Amino acid sequence: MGAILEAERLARHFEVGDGTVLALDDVSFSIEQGSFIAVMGPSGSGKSTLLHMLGGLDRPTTGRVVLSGTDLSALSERDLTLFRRKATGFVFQFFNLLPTLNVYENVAVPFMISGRKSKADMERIDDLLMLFGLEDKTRRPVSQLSAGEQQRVAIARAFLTEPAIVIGDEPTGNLDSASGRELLQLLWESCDNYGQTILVVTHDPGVAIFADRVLVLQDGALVDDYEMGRREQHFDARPLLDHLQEQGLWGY
Amino acid sequence: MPSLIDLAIRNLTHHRIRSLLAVLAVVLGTAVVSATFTTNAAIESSLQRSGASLVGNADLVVEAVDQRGFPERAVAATRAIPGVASVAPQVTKRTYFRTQDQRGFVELVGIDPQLDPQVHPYTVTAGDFLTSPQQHAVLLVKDWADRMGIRAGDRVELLTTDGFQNFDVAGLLDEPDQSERTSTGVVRLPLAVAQATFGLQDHVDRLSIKLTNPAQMQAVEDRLPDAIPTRFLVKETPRQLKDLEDSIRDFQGALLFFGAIALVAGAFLVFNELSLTVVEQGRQIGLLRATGATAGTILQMTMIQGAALGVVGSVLGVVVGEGLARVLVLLVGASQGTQPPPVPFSPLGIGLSLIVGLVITLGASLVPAVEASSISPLMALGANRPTLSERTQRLRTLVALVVTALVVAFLLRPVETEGMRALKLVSLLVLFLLVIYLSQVLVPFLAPIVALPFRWLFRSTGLLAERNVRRERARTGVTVAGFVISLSLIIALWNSSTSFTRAGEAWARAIFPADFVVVSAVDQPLTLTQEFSSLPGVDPLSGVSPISVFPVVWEGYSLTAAAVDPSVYFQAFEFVKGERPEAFRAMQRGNGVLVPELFAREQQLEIDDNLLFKYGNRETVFTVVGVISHSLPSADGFGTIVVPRASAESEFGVRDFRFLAVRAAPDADLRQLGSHLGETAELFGMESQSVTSLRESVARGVGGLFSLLVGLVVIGVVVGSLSVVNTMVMNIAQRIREIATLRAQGMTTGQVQQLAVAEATTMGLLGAIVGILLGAFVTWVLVGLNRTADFDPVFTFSPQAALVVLLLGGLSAALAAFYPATLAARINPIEALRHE
Repeated sequence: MGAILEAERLARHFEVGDGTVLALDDVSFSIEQGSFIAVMGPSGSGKSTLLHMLGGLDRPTTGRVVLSGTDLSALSERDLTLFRRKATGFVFQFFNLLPTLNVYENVAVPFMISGRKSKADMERIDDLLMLFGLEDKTRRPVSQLSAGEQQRVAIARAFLTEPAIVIGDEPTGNLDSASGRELLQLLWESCDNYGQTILVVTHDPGVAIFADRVLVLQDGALVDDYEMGRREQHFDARPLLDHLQEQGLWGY
Repeated sequence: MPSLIDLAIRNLTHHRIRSLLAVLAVVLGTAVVSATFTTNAAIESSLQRSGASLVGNADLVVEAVDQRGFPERAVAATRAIPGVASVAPQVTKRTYFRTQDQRGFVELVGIDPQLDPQVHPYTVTAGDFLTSPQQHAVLLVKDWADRMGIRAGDRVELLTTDGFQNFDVAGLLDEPDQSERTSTGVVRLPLAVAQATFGLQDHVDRLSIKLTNPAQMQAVEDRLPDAIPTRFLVKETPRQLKDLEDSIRDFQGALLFFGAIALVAGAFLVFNELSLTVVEQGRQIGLLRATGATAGTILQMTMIQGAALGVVGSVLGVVVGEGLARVLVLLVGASQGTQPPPVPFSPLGIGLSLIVGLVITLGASLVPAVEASSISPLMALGANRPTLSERTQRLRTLVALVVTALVVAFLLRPVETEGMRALKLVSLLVLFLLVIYLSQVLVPFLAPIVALPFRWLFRSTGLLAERNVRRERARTGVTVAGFVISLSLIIALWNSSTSFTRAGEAWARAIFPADFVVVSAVDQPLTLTQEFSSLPGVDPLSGVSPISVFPVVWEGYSLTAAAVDPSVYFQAFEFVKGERPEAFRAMQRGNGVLVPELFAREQQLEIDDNLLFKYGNRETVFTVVGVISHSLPSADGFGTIVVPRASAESEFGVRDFRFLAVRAAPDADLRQLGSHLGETAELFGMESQSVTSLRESVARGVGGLFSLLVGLVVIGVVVGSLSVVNTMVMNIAQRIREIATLRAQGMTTGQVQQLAVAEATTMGLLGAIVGILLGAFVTWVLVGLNRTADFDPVFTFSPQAALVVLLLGGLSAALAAFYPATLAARINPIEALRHE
């Protein structure tokens, strides 16, 4: 499969007071469609900044992101917004569900924003609710769901438009370990079964072991790009931890 | 080391925009209250000046009940009563004046040039006071004389029993110009000259009495019947001044009512601001509690914030209020067609406004302060704030609904006493407060209906907006309530104004079934009607119908009778009892009488009752054939009784008239006829007016007053809009992550703006819809409260008013959403990924 996302020499500077902070420095990599990528790194390493760039939420100072063949830096602000509608899905640490909407409506938000309501669209919503085990909770307020269920609603929402990439920001950070594992299993299965490209930012090697590949950032630079192969081959975190230790990247 | 005050002030300055809006609301509220106090003080001081000029420094004023007055010997007899220091007799009469350029009616007052200054302090600003009892000269009120272009030393012509005669203007007096209210100037001349020239020999209308000791007032009053042989009324000066003050009490009360409403709306904004701050700073307050701050300290800190808003807002409000008072006074003058009274500097009013502004603000701060003080230290660690149980909330709502039902039931009862009337006005205020509380209950039910257009227009953003409105019920309720108050008052004022104007027009139509009315200040011979009936354009069949006005006495009551031609008045008057055709047939046959409703009710008169009327030395029995709601106005407040012309002439010898109802021929040019009538009337010292212009002047009078009150209420709409800004800013601040999430998922900035505007407009429209319903009810109550015997307003609901209010509510809220919408659109989608 070809690259669905290409990051070319990404750099991002921030003006702070009289000085400049280099959040990301000359980061390049590409991601193939259907792969599950984990981005790791200590606090302040530039993980969030990279995530903003890849999701089309921010623009690099130099370099470019090409997602699904579209150069994001060439798009106007409005076009970038419209591009996000169809090409990216987000899963947040705090779920970010809309408390005024029920389960069904939360999943349907991306279609609501686009004004889509064809029969096929409705079927897509029903399919996702079924896939994530939410079919009997569609009319419930999201506040009545458990944290794990809420995150499943958030993932269904992220998958709705069949985006080129789903980006997760510490998606299990607010879940207990059992719910977290269950959720990662779901993500991995959707990646495996439907060829969905997924990129998660995490501190947790327990999350990263679900990925095919781990990118490690340090001080704004990409310092490691570790191919782990398919998940079936590394059920525990040991090989990843050993690798990170060998590289001097564990223990931060 | 920052003190509590520092912390409180920092909290306020941290939310500059919100604090500014809250201060602005207090400024507007206090300004309206302060302006109300000052305007009322100005009106009162003007009234007191009028009162002083009317009763002077007399202790007692005795007035004749019927138009024949007292015999002159009553003056000497009164002077002889022990305890009486001096008696100043007066005679009054309406007549017509003219100069080279001006003409019109005047109130003639004959005074004793020696005695009257003892009871009336006159200030002569030009010329001299009257010097002798036989001087053929007059004194005029300076402001009126200025308007008429008359100076001391000029001459004016007055219509006397011998036609127009010249009088020298001896001097001009500095006193309030009552012609602004009554549309007639006051002309003073020596009593003896007035009696001799105007057919008032041996006639005195009023005695102003100065006592040697005011404590003897009752003793002197007891002796008056011995001194005065005819019927009279005694007015004690303090009571008379009080009556004057009472006459404007309703207007002052209305101003204060609307001022209070504006201040309550301002207080809501303070309540809103502090409640939101407490919600927002829950964790910070929890931290302060965890580090040892007591609940009392937190309470103090929040109250200091409220006090700071109150002090700044009240002080600025008083300054703005002084300016607003000047505008109000000008408007009052304009609506009454009078010169605006001078605006006094009232330290008491200013002090009171400051105190009211501060107390209301502190009152509004109390609930948020108590809420803040109840925040647990655990909130610092992320615990949620305990909320009221569903059961408690339901119980509160149930109690509010029951109290509302009781208040509405009370307001639906007919007014029986003056005390009940006052209680009803208080109940209206209570109803407003209850509706404010219940707004949060109504919001979830009404929001889905009101937001339908937005769901249709904006689709997903409309849905999200509707859900957002329903989400923060208490906050939305308060914001909606701000609109409900002001918009319901606009509806109530608009509809009441329409009802009252229609009632006034109905009155004019009912008593003058004609196109023109010719009014005379003095009785005119019936032969004069020919001068008018022969004018081109006057209907040849029943063109000119004379109306005589004369006094009659029934069972000791002095009444005013109007004699009309039943065939002309067949379609006039509103019948409360009796059948119109039978009544007029009876009047055409002979001695039938129509009595005004109030008089019939007070005297329990029924159809077919026989009444013995006396006029001079004649007496005749009349039969009640109808009870009518409107009649010609009379000094006693009952309205005139209406008798057939033929009977008045045959039984009482009445052969003159005061009014002429003139009908135009079907093809007449009304403008030309009006002009002919005016010229002819002027020749005989009369005035002509079209009934249309009479109705218009009624409408102008009512409309002017109501526009003034609507002006005050519009300030309430501004405060309501500020409340929307405040609520929306807070909503957006609390929903940054949500909006950012929507942005991350592809919502455009335009859609975010739509969301904010739809949410705010839904609130405005909710306020408008509840306001229309409440306003209609308030109209119904106000119409009932103002229903009297000769003024019978009917409940009116104006669809135009409802439409204007809907537009006003929707548009002002949409405009208010502009700033919050801009803030919302600026939210960066990256905020969705922020962890804290």
